[in-house]
Amino acid sequence: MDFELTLEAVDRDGAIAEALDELTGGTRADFLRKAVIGGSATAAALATPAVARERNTAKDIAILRFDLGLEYLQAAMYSEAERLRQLKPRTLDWARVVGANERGHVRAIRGLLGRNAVKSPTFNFRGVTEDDAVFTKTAVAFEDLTAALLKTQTAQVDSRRVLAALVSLHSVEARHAAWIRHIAGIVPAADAFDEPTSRSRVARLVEDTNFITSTPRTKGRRQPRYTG
Amino acid sequence: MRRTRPIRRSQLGAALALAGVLIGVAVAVVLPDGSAGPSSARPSLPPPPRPAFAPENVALGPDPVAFWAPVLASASARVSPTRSHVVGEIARRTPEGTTNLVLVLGHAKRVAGRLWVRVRFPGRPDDARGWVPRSVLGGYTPVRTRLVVDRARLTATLMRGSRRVLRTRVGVGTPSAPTPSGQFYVRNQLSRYRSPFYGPVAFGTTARSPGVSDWPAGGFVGIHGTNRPDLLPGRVSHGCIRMANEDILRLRRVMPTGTPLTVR
Amino acid sequence: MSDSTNRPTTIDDPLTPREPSRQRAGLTRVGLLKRTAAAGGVVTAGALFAGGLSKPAASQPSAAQDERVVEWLLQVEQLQAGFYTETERRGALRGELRELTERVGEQERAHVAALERMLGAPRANRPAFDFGQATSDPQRFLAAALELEELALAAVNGQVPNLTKGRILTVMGIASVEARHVGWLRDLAGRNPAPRPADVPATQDETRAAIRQTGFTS
Repeated sequence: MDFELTLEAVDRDGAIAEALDELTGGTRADFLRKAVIGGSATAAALATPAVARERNTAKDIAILRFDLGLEYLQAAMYSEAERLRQLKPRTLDWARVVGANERGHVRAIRGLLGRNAVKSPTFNFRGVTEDDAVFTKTAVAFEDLTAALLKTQTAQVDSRRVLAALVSLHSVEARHAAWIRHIAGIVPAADAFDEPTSRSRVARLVEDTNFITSTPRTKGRRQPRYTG
Repeated sequence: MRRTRPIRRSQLGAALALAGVLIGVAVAVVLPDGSAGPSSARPSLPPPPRPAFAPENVALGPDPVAFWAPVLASASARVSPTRSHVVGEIARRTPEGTTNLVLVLGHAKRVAGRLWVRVRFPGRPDDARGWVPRSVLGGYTPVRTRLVVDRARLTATLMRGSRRVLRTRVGVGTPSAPTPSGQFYVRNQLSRYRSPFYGPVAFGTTARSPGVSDWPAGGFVGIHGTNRPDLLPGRVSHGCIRMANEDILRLRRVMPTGTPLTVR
Repeated sequence: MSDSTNRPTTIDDPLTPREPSRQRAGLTRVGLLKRTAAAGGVVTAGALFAGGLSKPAASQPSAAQDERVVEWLLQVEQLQAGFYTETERRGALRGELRELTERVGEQERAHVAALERMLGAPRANRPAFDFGQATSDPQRFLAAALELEELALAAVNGQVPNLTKGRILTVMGIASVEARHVGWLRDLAGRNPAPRPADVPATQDETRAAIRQTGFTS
């Protein structure tokens, strides 16, 4: 038996509104909730998909931007290592697989942040991407620390959906950490409980590496003195 | 009005201790598969919320044509990391005052605790190759474009992968001051200078015309615009590659620093 | 005994297991809506009220729910701890598998102890499992360990959003180590330790089904 209902009446847990947001870009969900199901307006609105924009709190934006910075670094480091092909085969394989994960993280977080996303810094990896032993040591440090940071952040975020996303990323970073440790011949899981860490601790590690650099100046305004 | 849990934790524990019996109450010894106990049919814990983002793996695309790196400190390039014979000097700055660049050839070797890398830098008749310490270079930037100048056809073609992005007619060097053939790269870009002779934009390359000596500022070949488009195409310059001003502006939009240059 | 305190009544049958598929392309309201929209059609209430709608409303974290979550995760950790304890007792493994058994077993037992402490008292009863050859044969051990660790990780990940903020860090500390176990075991087994950029969480029902599938609890 079919009869006319409004979405609001049917959609007790917001699942439908959520789906509509996803389809229509969030601006029309309110209108549609009042609209009658079966009306042509509803069908028309549903027919045009759009990307949903999350309205994130300032705290969540700050957290996600910091994560994005870290993901930029890891993605760039592993991508460069993959390109240069100077690592041992097992390490290179790790860089390839994990790089694909981290590049995926970059893309996804940027997508969520939209115009709130930060740009990637310029990096100088100072040979770390070209030397197996140094790369491995650095990767262990970054993966361990990223997993630790994500723990802290899950306890801080406002949005439950961002929380769920960070949870799903966190265990992947821990997989990365165990794997690279195994490759390096270190115990993959040293303790029964992994500790969280602070944002400032991570910022200090990044600073210590000196990877973030300024953009080189290759443009000028002088009078050309080429041979002509 | 909320109903509280009927059996409290401590009461249950006490009951178990006294009775010494397994009680099939959902709280105590339900097996993790949900079986064993008449009240295992209790509501499940809530499912997790849909995550705010769901990443997918991103594979790297095809290899770039080249990597370039800025030179942080001038260095002597060696024939190999273990042999000190010098094959060339690499300056920190170009004659135009910009940061000098090298192309990174993708070989690294650690010798006596120091990492050395193989690079390409300006030389004669075309680019030279040698090893420098990694520490004298900055970060690596990939380049996906390459410029091909054909002296016979008087054309310049910018390629991106197998795709032709731009083609234009050019002026090249005269027979006595020819544009040299070989492998070079673009290492800087000048603009906002006042010289119609060079057009609005001029790119510096690592090429040097063999017919030109004692030229101030090293005698490097440029790619630039012109106030004499009527001479194009033709063999008219002191080695430089000249194109019409609208073409050099188009080129600027699509040709980044570090782009390798092949002159045939 | 039912705990109806935390969830409002819905039209759904709360005991119906949720579809395991992440796509939810089937009879859920969301899936129906999307498919209808794609087909350019109109959603009827009759279709919306059709059977198989199994998305219970998400509950807000609370101390009472924390307790249920910890009890549940305790069961999952007990299964793992039991597996490694028996393997160590049987003493049939050598080399890295033996080292893993000892180290990981110690860690799982520590997880059990921590969760029990969070509940206020050690469990008076420990369930019994039947692991068969999986605790002595290296190949079966590796396969079983992987199966258990993967389902445990998904279970823990699935519960973190249900916790109050005060409990999240501890449980994340456990999730992290379970994920390390997975990474270690997969590398040992010659499998890609990180095939996906994000781990998929499991609901309680999905984990129960996964545990049933192991055959260790029958």
